[in-house]
Amino acid sequence: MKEFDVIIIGAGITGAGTARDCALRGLKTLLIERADIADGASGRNHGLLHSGARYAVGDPESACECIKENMILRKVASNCVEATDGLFISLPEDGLEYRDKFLKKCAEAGIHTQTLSPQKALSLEPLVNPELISAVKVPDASVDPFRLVSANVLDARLHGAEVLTQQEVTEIIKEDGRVKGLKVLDKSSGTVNTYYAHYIVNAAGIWGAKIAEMAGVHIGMLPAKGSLLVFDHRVTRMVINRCRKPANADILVPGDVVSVLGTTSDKVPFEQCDDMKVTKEEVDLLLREGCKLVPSLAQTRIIRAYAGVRPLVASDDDPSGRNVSRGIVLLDHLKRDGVDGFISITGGKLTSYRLMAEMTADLLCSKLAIKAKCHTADTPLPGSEKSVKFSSVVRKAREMKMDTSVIEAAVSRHGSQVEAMDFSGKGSELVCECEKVCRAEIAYAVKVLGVKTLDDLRRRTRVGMGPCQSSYCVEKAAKALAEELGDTSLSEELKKDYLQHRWKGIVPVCRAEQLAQAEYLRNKYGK
Amino acid sequence: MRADVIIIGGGQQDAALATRLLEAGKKVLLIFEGRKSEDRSREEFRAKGGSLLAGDKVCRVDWAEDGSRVEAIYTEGLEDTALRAEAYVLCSGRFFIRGLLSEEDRVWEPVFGVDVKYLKDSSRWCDPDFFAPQPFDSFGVIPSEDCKALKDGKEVENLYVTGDILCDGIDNTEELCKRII
Repeated sequence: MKEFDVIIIGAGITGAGTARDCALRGLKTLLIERADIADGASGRNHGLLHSGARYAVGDPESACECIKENMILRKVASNCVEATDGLFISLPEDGLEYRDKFLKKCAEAGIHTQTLSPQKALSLEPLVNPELISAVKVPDASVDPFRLVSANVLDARLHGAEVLTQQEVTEIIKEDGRVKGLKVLDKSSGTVNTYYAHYIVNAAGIWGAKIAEMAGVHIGMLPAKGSLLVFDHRVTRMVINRCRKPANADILVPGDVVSVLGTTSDKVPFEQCDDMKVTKEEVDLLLREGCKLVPSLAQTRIIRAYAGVRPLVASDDDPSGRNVSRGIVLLDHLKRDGVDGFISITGGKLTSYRLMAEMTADLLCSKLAIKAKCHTADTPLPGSEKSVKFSSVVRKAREMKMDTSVIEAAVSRHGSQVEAMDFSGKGSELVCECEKVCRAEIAYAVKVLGVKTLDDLRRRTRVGMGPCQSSYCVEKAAKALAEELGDTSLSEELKKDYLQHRWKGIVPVCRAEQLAQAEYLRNKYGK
Repeated sequence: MRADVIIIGGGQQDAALATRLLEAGKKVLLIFEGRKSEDRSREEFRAKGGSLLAGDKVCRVDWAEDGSRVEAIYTEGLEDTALRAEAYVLCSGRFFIRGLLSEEDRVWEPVFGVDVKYLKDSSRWCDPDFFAPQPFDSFGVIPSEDCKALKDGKEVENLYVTGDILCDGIDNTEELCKRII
């Protein structure tokens, strides 16, 4: 029997961040995930580090949180964040009334803005809608959510936390009205294990509603589906937003080698949350609205579509469930429901995950009577401890007789963790050409980041996420991964699982140029 | 310029067909859009005396007034030079090499605009199982029994169609050679 101070359910960004914070404070921590890290909403969003500007008018509290956290994450997660900046453009139909209010509210929230003339905006971003009447520059940024979750998980482990993936919670053990532990099905072995802890934290996103039911409490959650499209290159340098009341498809984010457009927002039933499919209507809506931001999107190849589920929480004081809390929701179930040993953390945003984790860990520490302060606001994540100089990348590349851009790509993904990679021998072999993932990075991901499948590898290295969508590299990647896992016979199965899994995102956009690619992919691997 | 047969190629079987017609004594011109090819079968065709127009694209078609025949075709490279033949063979391949084009709810053949079989609703073009036969695999140009293409349901007298551009995986190579040779 194993006993922990805290067990956290869900290795999305909230759970991973909370596990890290707890581990840094010396708590004996276990993080449990039913699939892989960042498998839910954390891996299915824009990858936008909000400046808070989007919320400035409608939700000043969130805006303040965002700008503070944005500035913190630029420092402590520097290798996950690209300081792209963002533009809020006003089109003729938007008018300038909203913009004026927006500027005032941004100032109140502490968000730095710079108003640009249409000509200036077009010189910075030549592809934005030339009909714009104004643009405001804000400190939005692009963030790789997979990298961010992975770095938090890694640091939690480095500080003593245990992390178990592919583990489904089947029962919450209660004694005398107090939550004591969990029964967990290990999906890889089929065995059921029991873990005990002083506190259990429910950080399972939309699936937290079900976890809460297991503990005998009710959280009124409203699953809200958000669909997004991925385009085959970086269309703009900055994040492009519409300067109007937040609506559908009004944000375009450049990230790594692609651009992401989103989102929609539709209530969906719980049964759909495990298998979100993007509909034709959603693709049409996204593209139609997206073209108002950047007209050339109409001619740009869409490489996939995906959807995540926002865990919206119904306000406790509204029995109808119509009023939704948009902010961070931290529920002490002892106070709220009389159930001790159980805490839920939900709502919030990717940008505010660190704060959510801090609030949760503060509550845990006060309950456990542990006096340990939060250090996540000034302790860099693994990879972000120091910046890697370009000259050292060039030196390494020369030493290893490799293309500089391959090592640079590894640095951009893993920061100073690149020192733990061995580029000698087979390590220099390039596997994914679009994202420039080499064998050394794959070996590192298997050894240090707990990769078991090609999809796990994708989340940690971006293998197969570029414009070719793995048409060229899936075979090579599967072989390399199988070798690193020590069983070359796995290669075919790894490849097939990955192709099937990724097909889902291609299906909704399988037309025009992407149908040409899909046909190629199938002729090569599917027949 | 005049040939017995002009093949609008690009598809996998274009050069094999061209060589076969050449060996049957026809004067054959093969046009295809791809870059100058290292493909052995195309080089073989050229070595045997076939005319190869590589890296060029048919950009205009002269139709008989009643639309029943192709009178001439023109390419981007040769501009105003009319290319004429007894028979034209469309063998330009599928989506990947742009023998077929698509957009939401529509699939078309871009050179002659001949009739194509496809499902109207693009949300039904794929099977969720990657390894299952895909509905879009069955899309393609509809051949008549005489191996000719149809335009608005009517057979075009001197325009044949063959190769993987055909719908439903139809293979009419033997039938087509019989008719042209």
